[in-house]
Amino acid sequence: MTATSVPATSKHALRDLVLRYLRPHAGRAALLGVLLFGGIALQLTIPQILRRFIDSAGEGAPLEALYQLAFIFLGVALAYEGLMAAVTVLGQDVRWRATNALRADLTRHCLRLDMSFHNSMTPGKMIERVDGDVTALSNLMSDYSLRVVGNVVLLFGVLVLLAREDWRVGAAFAFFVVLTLLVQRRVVRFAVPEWKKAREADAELFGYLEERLAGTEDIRAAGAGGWIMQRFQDLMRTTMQIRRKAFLLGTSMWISSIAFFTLGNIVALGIGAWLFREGSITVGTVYLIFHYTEVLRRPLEQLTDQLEDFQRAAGGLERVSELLERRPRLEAPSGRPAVIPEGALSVALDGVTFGYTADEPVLRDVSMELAPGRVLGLLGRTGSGKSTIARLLFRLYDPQEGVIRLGGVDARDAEIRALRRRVGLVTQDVQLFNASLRDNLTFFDRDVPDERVLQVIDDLGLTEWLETLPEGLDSELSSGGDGLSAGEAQLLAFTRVFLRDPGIVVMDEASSRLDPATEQLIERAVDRLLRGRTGIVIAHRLGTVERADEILILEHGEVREYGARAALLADPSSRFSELLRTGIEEVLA
Amino acid sequence: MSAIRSHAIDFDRPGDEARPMSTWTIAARLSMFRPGMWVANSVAWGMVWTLNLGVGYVIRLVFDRLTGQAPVGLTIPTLVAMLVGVALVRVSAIIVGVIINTTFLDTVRALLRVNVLTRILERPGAAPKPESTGKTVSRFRDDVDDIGWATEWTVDLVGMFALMLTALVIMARIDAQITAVVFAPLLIVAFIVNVLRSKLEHYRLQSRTASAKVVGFVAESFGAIQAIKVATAEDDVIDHFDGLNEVRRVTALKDTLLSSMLNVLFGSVFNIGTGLILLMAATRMQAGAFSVGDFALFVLYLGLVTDATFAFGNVMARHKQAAVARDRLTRLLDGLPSSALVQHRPVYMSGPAPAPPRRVRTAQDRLEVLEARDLTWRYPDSGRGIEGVSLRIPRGGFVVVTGRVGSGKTTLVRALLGLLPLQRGEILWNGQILDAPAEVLTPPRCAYAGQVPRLFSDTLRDNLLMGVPEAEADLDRALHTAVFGRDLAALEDGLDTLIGPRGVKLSGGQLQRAAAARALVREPELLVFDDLSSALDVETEATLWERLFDRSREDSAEAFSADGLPPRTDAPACLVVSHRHTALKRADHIVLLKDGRVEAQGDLGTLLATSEEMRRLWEGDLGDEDGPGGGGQGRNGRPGAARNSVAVGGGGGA
Repeated sequence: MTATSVPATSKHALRDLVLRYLRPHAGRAALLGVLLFGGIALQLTIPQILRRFIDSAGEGAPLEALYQLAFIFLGVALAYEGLMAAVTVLGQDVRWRATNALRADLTRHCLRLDMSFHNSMTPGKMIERVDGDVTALSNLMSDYSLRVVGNVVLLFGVLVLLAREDWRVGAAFAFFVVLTLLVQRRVVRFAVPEWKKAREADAELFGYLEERLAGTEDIRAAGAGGWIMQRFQDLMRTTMQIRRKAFLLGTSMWISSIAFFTLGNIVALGIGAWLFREGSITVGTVYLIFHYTEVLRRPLEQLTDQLEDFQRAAGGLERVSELLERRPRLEAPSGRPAVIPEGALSVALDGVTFGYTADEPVLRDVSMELAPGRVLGLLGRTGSGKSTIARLLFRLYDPQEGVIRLGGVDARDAEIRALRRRVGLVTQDVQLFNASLRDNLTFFDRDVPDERVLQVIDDLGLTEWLETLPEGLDSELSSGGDGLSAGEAQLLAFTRVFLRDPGIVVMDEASSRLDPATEQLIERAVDRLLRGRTGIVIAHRLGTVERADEILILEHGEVREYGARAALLADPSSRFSELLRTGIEEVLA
Repeated sequence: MSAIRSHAIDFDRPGDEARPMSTWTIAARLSMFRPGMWVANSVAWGMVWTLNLGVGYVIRLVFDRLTGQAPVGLTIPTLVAMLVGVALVRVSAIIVGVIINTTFLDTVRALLRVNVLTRILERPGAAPKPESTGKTVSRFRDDVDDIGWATEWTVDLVGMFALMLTALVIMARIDAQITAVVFAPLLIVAFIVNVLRSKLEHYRLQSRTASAKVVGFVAESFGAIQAIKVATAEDDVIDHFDGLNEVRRVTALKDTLLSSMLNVLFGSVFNIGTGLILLMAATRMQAGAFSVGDFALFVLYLGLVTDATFAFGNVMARHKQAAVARDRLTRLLDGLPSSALVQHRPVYMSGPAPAPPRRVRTAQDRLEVLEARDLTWRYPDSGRGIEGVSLRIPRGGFVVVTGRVGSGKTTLVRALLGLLPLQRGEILWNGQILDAPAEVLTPPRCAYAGQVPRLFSDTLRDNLLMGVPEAEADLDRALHTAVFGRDLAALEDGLDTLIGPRGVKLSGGQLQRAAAARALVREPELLVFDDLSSALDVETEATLWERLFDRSREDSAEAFSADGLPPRTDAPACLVVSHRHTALKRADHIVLLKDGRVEAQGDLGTLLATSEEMRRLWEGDLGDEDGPGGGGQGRNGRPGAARNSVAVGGGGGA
């Protein structure tokens, strides 16, 4: 009855969403129901006791009878409080369980969305979406529907008990309740778009802040603190203006509630006075009618609150379902996914054309074929498309034209995750988590035994370094990797790849940050990693590709030259030879 | 390689400050930031609270009218009109109250945020942060909110006291004895509950910490999305996330359990109070000394007063929460006392914030020589860093810092620029010791492009200018010098292209060249580049050096100066971290670091002749570009000979 402030589709989306996450907690919800309805019964009894008391006192009943009524009142009222407390705690429990499941699902879903989605999102914005919006939804996710039902039952209970006194009273209050709910249904629509705007403004503000907090070094070095602050102040001002409007419209519910309770009091006292003078009811019954109006206040106000929760959640819901409806654009293979063979894999690009936007190709008609176990050196200027090839191999994107085959299987025919498991990547930027070193190396995979982690660390010659850590694998890393040099971080990235044992290894400028002395340290290990695997080594520098069997030179997204390294080296007219011979001058001409 | 333990842990100790400012003082200071607004807010909400008593009073009159105990003349229609009147005044107070309150609250929150952010931007930019970015954001959101609410509730406190006092007086005038008996337990329980609330804070703190961990992890995960995808670690990441969520649920539940027990106590007070009224009213009503109207009023007022004490307890709880928030925000202040949180400074909530004052280039800004003596900075946990490093950069000098990974190169340039707090040593600008290097070694004196520069979600133009007025900057030239021209041409909207996390993603090399352009736009006396080679290929890097020095030559010819200040007519001095031959050959002076100490310094020829470490680095770079040989010959004359030096080097290798 309250879900009217949003379009019907959202209403269904909401119901489905809530039911999906509450179903696993049906037992708790049932207990919650029993407690709640017990509470309602007690609540309905209280005014009856008070009426008896007033009328008995007026009629001069014996004091013992009055005292007895007072104690009955106490017992009932205290039991009611206890039940309500139990309802709250149990409700919270269900709420957290359900929303945590939604948070996890939402995060899982988003993690699987394409890079094109993530490129448009800041981590700050993701916090708002995964945590902020879900928290706003949490009121709905819990005992919400039960409480709504409870309040409706309470409303009906009061109306029936009032009608029992006199049908006219029942009729008057039925009219009052219906009118209140009808009007408030309209009022609630007022603020929904404003709440949505307010949440978006908040997300904007914290997104701004998040980026700047992560970039203090750059801000400081550019002497731009004042400017950052000026923009921050302006953002806060716009946020305030939007919030003020939302809050102002949000009070419309409160105001209409005040209006209706004034009306309720007037109806109760008016009709009570009239019937009292008519002689058809006692003064105790007038009090009873008045008290039931007060009892109505709670469910009607709570329904109002629930409507308000709904207002707040509606914006969150819209965005949550929008997020959940988003599908990865990379399509899963139709039919049975092809199986990528074990061991070293061949890599083939056949007429691949790709751009991050369709009209701006980064790669044009790139073809090449690399046999299993061979190593390809990929050369080219910054921005020539080398990193893009790596991203395509992981199927972070699909080419607009052409085919990529790994082990003879069209990348689009394989299951994405199965494919990615077979390819390892060492990038220049290593992202670390505020978690233990173990979790950082295994990517939270608890199935990897410590012995294996330690073995890999040993293979990489990092044991000595590990021993300097106070808590070994349990040492906490900070998320920015503060205190870790770029070279150390990159060695950790190597460890990550070693642990996964892929069939293809892509090294994106892997050694670019390592000084030659440190590079020696891992040279041997890289050789071992490439043994029995296919390798693609991306670098700007000729020295880095010395271990390559084949060479591919990219220029402006096109293949400038491709062939066996030995052959290219032997041919003095090859671009590769030319590069080696003349160094840098020519390339820039 | 040595330790990499998290710095976050060390800052996670609560209550670093011996005597932090009390939350009441904080609330008072914040209220006094806009005193007029606070008073208006209090009046409005005071009316909203106390007018409820009026409703109760009218209802008593209605009952008394029915039982014939009311003064004559008060007809039922008159009483109805009174009810309507009270409601109208109350509604007006609410509307006014909401407008004032939102403005007040947001102004207070803005002041807190501005104070904290100002401090964060003041401290050495590259120093380890007290907390992860995700957590810091939640401090700016949740903890600032907590203090905001604690301040805002002082307004309601005024209203609640007004309500309680008025209710007491009215009730006492009807029946002082019942009033006393009913109120006594109410006040006692209110006191007990407020004491119990402190227990609640323990759980609340835990629950907050658990929340912050969840939020921080979301930020990290989506920041590392490509790595997660490539490692197909989605499920394991979710498992970890589930674990953090579960901790959050359990802690939140404990919190709820305790607070609902308190609610039961409060509800019971109301009911026991009503029971007492019944018991005491029994004899009086029989005697006609206590009317049904009086009874109705007492029960209504009891409810209102209970609510008010409950809200009073809420204020207390808000302040306990605010104390936690204060401690956490204070930690972000990096050594400043908590009173700095509430320092009054301009906050612009009614109109655009003015542009910050520009630092004007003065005669003192002209670089003659920059010297560093005995620079020492070690990461608190790992103990790594630099120790006793001294160096000298003369006007127009080209100084290269080199050394193997982890030898402290980046730490050195950061320490020199004040991006890390010095633990020992001094920095001299033209022979004068700098007290606060971080404040003066910024543009127009120094500009810096880091190893992994960050650009923000904004237009390319704003990312380059970052507040430098466009009229005073030669963007085109900076972009040309930084070899960004071709990249710019490829961007759809040119300088207006939105870049950064939410815009067009630039490649690593583009990022570094954009950062170089950002530094160049500032026309500094000293340019600092941290390892441009890591994302630039040799050719692009060489072009950048060439253009930089060609440009300096042009500068001397044109004496370009857009800001009308003393122009820099010759080449800027350069401090460059690199192990590339191109840079080493060009260097006037090389500082070779090993394990954080200066292993050797001098020109390339000398170092190659005398230092084994230098030879290893030089040989190790074999094949990197133009090969060994060429030695020290090519690095001499600059800026005019710059172009030649590369050519000579290249030829030597062939």
